[in-house]
Amino acid sequence: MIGYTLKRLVNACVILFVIATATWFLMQLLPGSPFNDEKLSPEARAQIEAKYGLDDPLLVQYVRYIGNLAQGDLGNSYQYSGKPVLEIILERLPVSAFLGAQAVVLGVIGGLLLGVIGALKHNSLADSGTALLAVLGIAVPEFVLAPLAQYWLAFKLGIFPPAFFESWWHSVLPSMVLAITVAAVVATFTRTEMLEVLGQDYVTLAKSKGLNKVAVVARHVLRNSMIPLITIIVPLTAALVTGTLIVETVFAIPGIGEQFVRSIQVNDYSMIIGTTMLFSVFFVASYLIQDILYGIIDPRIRVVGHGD
Amino acid sequence: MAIRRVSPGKALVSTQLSRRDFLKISGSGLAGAALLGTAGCGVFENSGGTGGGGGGGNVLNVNLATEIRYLDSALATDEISFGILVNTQEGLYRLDPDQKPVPAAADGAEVSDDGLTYTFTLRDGIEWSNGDPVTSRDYKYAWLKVLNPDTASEYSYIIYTFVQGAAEYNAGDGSAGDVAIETPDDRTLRVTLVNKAPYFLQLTSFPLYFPQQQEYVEQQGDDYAQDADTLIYNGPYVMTQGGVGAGGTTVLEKNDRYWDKANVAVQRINGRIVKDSDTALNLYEAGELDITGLVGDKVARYEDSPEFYRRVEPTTFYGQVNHDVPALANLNIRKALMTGFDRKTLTERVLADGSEPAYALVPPAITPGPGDQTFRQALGDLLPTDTSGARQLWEQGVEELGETPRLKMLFDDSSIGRDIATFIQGQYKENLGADLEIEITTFEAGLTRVQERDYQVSFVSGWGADYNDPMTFLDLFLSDSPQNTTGWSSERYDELINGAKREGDQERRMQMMAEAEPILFDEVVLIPEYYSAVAGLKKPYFKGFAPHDFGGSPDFKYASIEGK
Repeated sequence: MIGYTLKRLVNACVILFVIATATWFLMQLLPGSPFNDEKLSPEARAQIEAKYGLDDPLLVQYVRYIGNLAQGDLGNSYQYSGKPVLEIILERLPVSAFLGAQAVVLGVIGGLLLGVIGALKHNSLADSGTALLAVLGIAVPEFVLAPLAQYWLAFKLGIFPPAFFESWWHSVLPSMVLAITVAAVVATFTRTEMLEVLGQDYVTLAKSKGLNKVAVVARHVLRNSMIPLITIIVPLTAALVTGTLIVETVFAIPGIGEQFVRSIQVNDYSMIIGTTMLFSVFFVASYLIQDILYGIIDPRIRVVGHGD
Repeated sequence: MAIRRVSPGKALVSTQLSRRDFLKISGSGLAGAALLGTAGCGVFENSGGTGGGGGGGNVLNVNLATEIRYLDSALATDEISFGILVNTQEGLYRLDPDQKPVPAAADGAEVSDDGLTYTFTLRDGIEWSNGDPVTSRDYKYAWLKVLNPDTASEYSYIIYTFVQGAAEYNAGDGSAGDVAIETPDDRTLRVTLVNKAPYFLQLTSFPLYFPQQQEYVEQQGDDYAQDADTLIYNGPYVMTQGGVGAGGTTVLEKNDRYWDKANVAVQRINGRIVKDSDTALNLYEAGELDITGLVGDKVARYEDSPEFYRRVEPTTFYGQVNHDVPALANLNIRKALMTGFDRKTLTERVLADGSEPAYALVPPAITPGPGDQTFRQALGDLLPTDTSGARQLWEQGVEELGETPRLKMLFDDSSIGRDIATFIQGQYKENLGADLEIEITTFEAGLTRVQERDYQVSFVSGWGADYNDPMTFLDLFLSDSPQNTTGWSSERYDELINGAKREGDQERRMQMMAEAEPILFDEVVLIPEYYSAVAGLKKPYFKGFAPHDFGGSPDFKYASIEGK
């Protein structure tokens, strides 16, 4: 088990290094520069580039960058008068993380319920209803859902505050909007897996032993249907935490998603790299956790893993 | 990733969910939820400081629209940062609601007979928010900081264009000691200019000219001007919450040590950040914002509302022509492009936001001009306002070239940029029979390409006035101006503009500039599009709204809340 985990950790570090290098090179290809005032004379531009070390040869810049990264120094933002990127990320990340985590909780609970109902009431009206909801949840994009939810539930009906992040209640509507996609995916998975499990022999045996339906579902069916969910929940969480761009913009929430796109638009090199590395760490970490979870749950994977 | 389920054998063994298991699971579930809750507590805005909304009746809620980028007046470049600075700091002069410079930190200025030396006297008793007196040394220190090449201030030209010795210092060829700024005593500041500049008093209201106290700045080191606590203020308001890049609410509260605090009516200003224009509009209607901007088709919808406001700015959008491109060296081709699209339709249909068609460079909002008229009034339109002659010019040009040129137009990737691109392309097809290609790029990339002369006709950007005088537009096209990226130059134009810079008599310099501007259109250096307008909605109780066309805006010193 230890050997397996260590191998996976080393793997993760290598992947992160490759991502860091690739991102850096891609950014050199980005047209334009962080300093773009037409009022900028060539002399002023030269001064600024000297100040930020942008006039050094590429290899020097690259080595400096990797060195800093290894020490956890993500550099300073170009658009916010040299404020450290790490500071900006740390200020905003908890906001996005909270929204995402809440959305996962809401979405998983909602999705599980929908999926269970769909599977148990297979081929009934309830099943078709939940399937329809699931499809809509996946298909309707967030930039439609978010403004709609905000307009009707916040501005018109006044149930939720329309914008900003001043209290927990402010986070509920944005999290709900994010949770819709989560719930839809979870519902679909749960329903499919449960249907398969419900047809298994041991379930028939449990029923024939006289266990009531609820007990059967709770003790046997759900636990065995959960394993495939591990596959999607972990990357889904990472994507949620980072993909809150639309929701953060519409609800005027100061998170990391909207900051990321803005930094690409204005060529804020350090911010772009910092945020990309952050997201990469999330993804790599979540796959690492997932691999370890599988290793715990299913020993055969560990054994097979050892072989290569 | 395909996964094998737990085999049937294993499942049968672990069927019993004991009481302990149940407790374990629900316990960890609850613990998780509690953890989420406590972690969440630190995340919300109100869970610590003074929070976002509220503040009672004498408060204005405004939308900054994006995060503050700079609080260091020596480095600031963008509208939002200027807007915060003009309300929390103060220059020697300040613009009043009619855009006229009035004494602020200075109570007056004497100008020498040759018009080159200004002696400012600071007001008695003015203080920083920490109790220290504001002195002339604070102004000298700040101006030298802007000019210092190590500061790498993007806007340094706003000082070095005017002050003697400044350009050399900034270029690294001179020392700080050679810059013509003197402080004979704590209350006197003397500056000598390179050329006469009747608008110099107005320039001192520009945020780059604001003071900084050397001791405080050096004490803060790298932390200086990062947030509300690492700044001192000498303006009508102090910042009590907020900072560079901060996403929450920026709070400005009335400055008790401000010399003119008796005339400051609004007690507190909450600066929210709402980037989505629909959300902002909805918040305005719900009463959570007291003012908001309007863009696109919303302008037409709200035009008749009593809360609507609109101003045409001193900003011109124009296409720049690269004179080094062989096809564009032909005058008739250039003239055809200049007259080949209908500006009235452009502003009324495509923009529909109150922007006005431009048939020249210097916008109507620039007030000084020859005699009693504004510059634009006196000179009128400098190109034909209709497209009838365009086709003939194009065909003549094609004949002279011997072939039809394949031309590309550069536009930025905003939605309005694309709309204008499609419109102009269609117009050229209709009016000239010409097919011009559109190239779309980001604003930043577009600016770089123009600077590197990698373009044919670029509609990427416009020019906003830095001060209230035609010179801020006209000196763009001097042959040695860094902003002249057209490859065009004219001795006569240089003669007139440089002469106007040296000329002391206001009427004579206006005449010289009036002779120069038409040259730009006789030779088609640029293709004007429109003078831009801003529009928005403002609550009826928000009185004294004082936007400025130059420097920081809006100025809340003059605002008040009445009848709420």
